[in-house]
Amino acid sequence: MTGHGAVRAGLAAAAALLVLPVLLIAAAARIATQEAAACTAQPAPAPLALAAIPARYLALYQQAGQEYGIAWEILAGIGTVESDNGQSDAPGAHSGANSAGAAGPMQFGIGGAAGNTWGGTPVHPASEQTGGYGIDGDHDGVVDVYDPGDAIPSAARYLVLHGAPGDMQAALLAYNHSEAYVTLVLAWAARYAAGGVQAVAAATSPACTPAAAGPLPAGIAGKVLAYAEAQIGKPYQWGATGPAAFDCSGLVMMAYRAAGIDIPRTSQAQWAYGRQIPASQLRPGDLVFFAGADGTITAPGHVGIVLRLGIMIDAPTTGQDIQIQPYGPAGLTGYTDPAAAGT
Amino acid sequence: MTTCPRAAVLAMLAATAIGCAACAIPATSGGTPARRDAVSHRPLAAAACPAVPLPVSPPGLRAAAALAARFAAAYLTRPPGQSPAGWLARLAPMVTSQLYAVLARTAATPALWPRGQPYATAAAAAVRVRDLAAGSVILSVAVRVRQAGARATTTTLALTVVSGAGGWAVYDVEPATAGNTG
Repeated sequence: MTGHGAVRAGLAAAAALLVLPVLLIAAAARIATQEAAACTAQPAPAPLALAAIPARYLALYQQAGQEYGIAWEILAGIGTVESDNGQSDAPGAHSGANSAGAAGPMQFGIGGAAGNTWGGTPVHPASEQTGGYGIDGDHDGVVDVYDPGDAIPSAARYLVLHGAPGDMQAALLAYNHSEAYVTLVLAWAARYAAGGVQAVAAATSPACTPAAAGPLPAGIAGKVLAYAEAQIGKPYQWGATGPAAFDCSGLVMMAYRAAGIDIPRTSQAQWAYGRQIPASQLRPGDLVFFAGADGTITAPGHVGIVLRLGIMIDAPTTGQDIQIQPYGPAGLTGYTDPAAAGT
Repeated sequence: MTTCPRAAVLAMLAATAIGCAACAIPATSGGTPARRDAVSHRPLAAAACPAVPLPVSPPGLRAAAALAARFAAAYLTRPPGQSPAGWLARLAPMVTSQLYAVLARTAATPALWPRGQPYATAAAAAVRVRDLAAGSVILSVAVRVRQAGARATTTTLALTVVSGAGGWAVYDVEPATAGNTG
């Protein structure tokens, strides 16, 4: 995690990796820029993963990977480097914090040099709004940095909010500001995924983004997303609201119109209209706003429809057709639920 | 191979599509400076583009422009004593079923129909082609609105008109300045 080093088991893992062929590590480090032909968002575990990762951890990596659209083996790579998948007895792994202030199996900062990225106290009620990245992933009412059921999905969420899956390299660098750390995590990921480096490259490629969108939800959100997805491939056109072309806010307005809900025309007015919601309460069909080309953070000029945290469908700008694409924190204003305007 | 740019197609249509008195159709660069696909106003030599595949025929464009002019005037006209239901009934034959649903919700919103609202009459002053695609046209319609006891004002609407089995229908109506560059 940001601002701290790997715990002892992670160092042992690093030593073990030194025997890996140089080519494997170099290839893994290039993952973010590789083109991959096939898309398997969640590759099968390789035998090493089944042997080395405790079953509970493996299940949690896969579950969080599916939920957040992150290749599970990336989360496993982090968990290995940080705490040997919870098997490390180093300070901070199961209680307290290490010298940098990092704690738990995914080594979130709870204070000190690492900062408090977890938010609040290391173990706090789920009802407490801390503004940190820690979430109650296992829905037991407690946000516990030492509980892998909370720490692993929190790590996935952290990655998504820092550019993953579209820019995994940047997201991992945000997690720990070290190129060597990123290389190490990716090398472990390549060992854990059946198919190795190529499987990780495929899982983190843009081609996997639409496949990870999943089935449509019911109700209003389903109608909104079905309409928006039916427009994929049509061109962006300033001031257009369909049916041949759209601008960003025109697509959003017409998608909600298809569900029988009238919302304002421009992104600035749409931001002011909808009920603002935190990322933790985000649901498919909600709107995500950005400063964009002709707006500001407080009067956003770009809007997309959320498929899930980190993935949206939008009409980007001139020359770019309507598409599903990942988004990161750059220029992000926030989220609204237009169907709950005024509530 | 020489191909006609989209701007040239619009310019040529501008030369051919002028029809009714209410809707002279000059080619335009659009209603706002944000638009990036500015259209040339230079006359086009016929020989330069001998066979341009147009997404909408000139007669079709004339029909679309005439409909847009009629709709825009009716949309902004508030005769004395006219009820929301009457306003909606005038617009209904001109719009798609989806836009009708939006207008019906508008008509059913009391706050949009204040008591004692001064009546207004509106007439389309100019119709301009903003964009063309197969089966749909975006037109910019400048409307002169006259209210009792007030100076006339001009409101410019962007109307998207689509062709279907029943002919042309208005698909959307928005302020001409509304849009986002992304």
